[in-house]
Amino acid sequence: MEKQIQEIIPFLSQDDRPDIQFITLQNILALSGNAECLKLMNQQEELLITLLSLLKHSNVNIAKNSALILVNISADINGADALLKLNNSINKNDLLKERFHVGDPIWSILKSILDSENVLADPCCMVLSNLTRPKQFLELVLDLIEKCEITYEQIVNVFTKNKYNQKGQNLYYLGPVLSNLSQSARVRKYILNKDKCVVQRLLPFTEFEDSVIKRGGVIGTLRNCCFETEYHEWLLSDEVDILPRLLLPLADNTEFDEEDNDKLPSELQFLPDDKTREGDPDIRCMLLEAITQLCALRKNRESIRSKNTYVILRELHKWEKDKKSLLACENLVDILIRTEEEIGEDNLKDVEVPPDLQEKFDQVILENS
Amino acid sequence: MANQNKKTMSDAERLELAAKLDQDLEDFINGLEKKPYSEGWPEDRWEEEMEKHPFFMKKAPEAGEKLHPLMEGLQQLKYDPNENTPEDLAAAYKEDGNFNFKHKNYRLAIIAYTEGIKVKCGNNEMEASLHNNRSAANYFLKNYRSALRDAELALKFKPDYDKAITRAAICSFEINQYEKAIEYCDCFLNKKPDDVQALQLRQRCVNAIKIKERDLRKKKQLETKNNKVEEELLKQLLIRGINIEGGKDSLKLECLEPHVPELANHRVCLTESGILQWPVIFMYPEYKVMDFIQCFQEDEIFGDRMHQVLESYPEWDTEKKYMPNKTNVYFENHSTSKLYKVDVNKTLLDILKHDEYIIRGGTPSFIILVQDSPAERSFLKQYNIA
Repeated sequence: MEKQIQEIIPFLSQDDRPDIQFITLQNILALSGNAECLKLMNQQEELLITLLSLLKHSNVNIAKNSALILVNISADINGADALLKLNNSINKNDLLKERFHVGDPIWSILKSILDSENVLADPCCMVLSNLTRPKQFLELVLDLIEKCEITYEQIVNVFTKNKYNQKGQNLYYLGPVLSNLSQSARVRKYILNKDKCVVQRLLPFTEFEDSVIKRGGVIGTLRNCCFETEYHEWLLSDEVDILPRLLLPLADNTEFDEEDNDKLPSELQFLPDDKTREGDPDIRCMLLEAITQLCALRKNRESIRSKNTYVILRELHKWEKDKKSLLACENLVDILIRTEEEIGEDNLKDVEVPPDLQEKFDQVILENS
Repeated sequence: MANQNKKTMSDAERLELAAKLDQDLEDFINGLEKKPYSEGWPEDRWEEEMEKHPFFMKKAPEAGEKLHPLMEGLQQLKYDPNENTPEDLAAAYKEDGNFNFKHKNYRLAIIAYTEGIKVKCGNNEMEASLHNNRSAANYFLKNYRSALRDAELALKFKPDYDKAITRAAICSFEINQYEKAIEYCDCFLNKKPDDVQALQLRQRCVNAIKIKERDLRKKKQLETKNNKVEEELLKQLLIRGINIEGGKDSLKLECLEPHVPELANHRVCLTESGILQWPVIFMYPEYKVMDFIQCFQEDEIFGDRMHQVLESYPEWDTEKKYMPNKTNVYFENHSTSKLYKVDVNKTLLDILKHDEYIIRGGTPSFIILVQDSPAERSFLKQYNIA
C-alpha cells in the first residue's frame, strides 16, 4: 500500500496535465477517508508539501481537493504533527524556502482565510481548527502565527464581520479555532485586552442561530476566558456585561412575575414566545461552567446573584434532561443559593479539597459522563 | 519713408506737434456734450455703495441678495464652466464652503459644497472631501440623516476616510440606528483598536440596543396579551348569545366601542372572574337627560342598580317622582322601532339575552319613564309596544 501511495505522488506534480492531477487528487481524497491509508500518507512529507503548494493552484477543483485532503490529514493527530513539522523542513531546505513563506503551513492557510475572495477559506478554517486542537501543538501553532506577522486581531475581525468572504465561505470553523487558541494564556490576554473591543464583539454570537459550530466555538472561547479570575470583575461590569449573554441561551420563553422580571438583566426580560434554549447539551454545559467560574470571588458572586440568575437556572433545571448539564446546573445553584456567611470564603479557588473528597467528586463526574 | 520723417523732425517741430495734439484733445473734450457727472456714488449713499463694491465689501453677500455687477463679473471669472476646469471649479466651491463653514454659516457652506458636488469633477479625493464637508455642515445643523447620507457617499469615493467613518457612526447613533453605528465603530476600530471615543460610542450603542430590544419585546408581549384578552371577550359574547349591532356575521371589537364621549375608554370588558362589565345608558325622555354608567356588571339585578342611581333624586327630578318602584323601563329595537318592557328583577345579562335586544355602539341603553305619567303616554304613542 505504501508503495502505491508513493507511486501516485509524482502524478501530482504534472503541472502541464491538470486533468491527471485532478484525478490523482480524487483518488487520494478517497483513500484519506481510510484510517490505515491516512497513517501512511502522514509519513509522506513530499505528498504533504505538494498538497500545500496545490492549495494555490489556479484550477479551483485541484485546489479544493488538496484542501479537503489536508482537512482529513490534519484531523489525525499524527497528520497534524507531520504538517506542523513541515515548517522545519522548509526552513532547512533552500529550494523549499523559495516556494513557501515563513510560518508555512500556517501562513498559507491563514492567508486563504483572511482573503475575502478565497474559495477555500472554509476547508482552510477546518485545517486550522484541526491543527489547533491538540494541546501539545498549540504553542507551536501560536509561534508560527506570530512568525507570519498575522495578528489575532485580523482573525477576530474576519470572524466577527458579517459575510466577510465574498465567495460564500462562511468561516464558521474559525469558532472552534478561536476556542482552541484561547486555551493559551497568550490568546486569552489578547481577547481580554481592556483597551480593545474583542470579547465584546464575540458576545452577540452566543445566540448565533445559523451555525452551532460558530456558536459553540464562541461559547468555548468565552468559557476559556472565564478561567482568568482577575478579569471577572471587568467581564461582569457594564463595559463587557458578559452575564446576560451567557444566561440568554439558557432561558426559554418562561414568563416571570414583575418582581423577578425587573431584577433580570434587560436582555432577559420579556422573552418572546418563540424563544428556545440552546439545543446542544455540551454548549449548555460550557455556559454553566463559565458562569460557575465567574463565581470565584465573593464580590462577583453577589453581583451574579443580584441579577436574578437563580430564576433562569431554576427553570433550566426543571427542563434539563442531560445529566452532565444537570450536574453543572446544580453545582452553580449550590454556590448561588448559599449565603456568603455560609460560604465564608472570598475566593472559592483557594478552597483546598481533601484528597478523599476529590476522589469522590471524580467518581461522581465519571458516573455522570 | 517713416524713418526719413522721423529723422527730419527737429526739436521745434516736435514741440509744435505736441502743442497741436494737446490742443486737439482739448478741443475734443470741449466738443463733448456737456452733462453733469452722474455715475459716481451719490454723497449721501457713498458708504453703502462702497460696501457693495467687491473691492471694499466687508462681508460676503447673503444668499438671494442682488449682486453688484462687478461682483457678478468676478464670480463669473471664478465659477464660469467655460473659464475653469471641473476640478478647479470643484476646488473653488469647496474653498467657498470651507470659508462659510469656518464662519459657522453652515447653510451657505452646504450650498457651496452642493454646487461643488454638482460639477462631478471626477476626482475621487475631491468628491469624497466635498461630501465629507457637507456631511460635517449638516451634522452641525443637527441634520443627522443628511449628514449620515453624505458621510456614506464620501465613503463610496474613499472607503478608508476616517473622518467620514467616525461621523457616520455618530450620526447613526443619533438617529437610533445602533446596529449601523456599531458597524462603523468596528470599521474604525479595525484601524485603531484602542480609540477611546469609538469604544465608548460602541458601548453606548450596545446598551441602547439592549433597552430598545427589551422595550420591543415588552410591547410585543403586551400586544399578544391584549389580543388574547380581546379574543376571549368576543368569545364570551358569542357564548352568551348577545346580539351586537353590526356583529352578525363576524363580531369585531369596533362594534363594541361606545359612541358617547362620556363612556369612551369604558368598552365592555371581561373581569378576571369571567364576568362582563358593560357601559350602560339610562335615558329619561321626559327631561331629555341621560345617566352614563361606566361599569354595570352583567350579573347585577337591573332594579338594584337603578335603585342606586335614583336613590337620591337626581337634580333634574324636581318633582321627585322618579322612584324605582314607580317607573317603567323599556328598551328599543332600533331596526324595528319597537319598544320592549324590561323586567327589572332580572339581571342585566338576562335582559341583554332577549332576542330583540340589539346592542348599539357597544352600549346597552334603557328608557326610563314614570309609570302612567303623561310623559310615558305621549312617549309610547311614538312606538309600537311589543
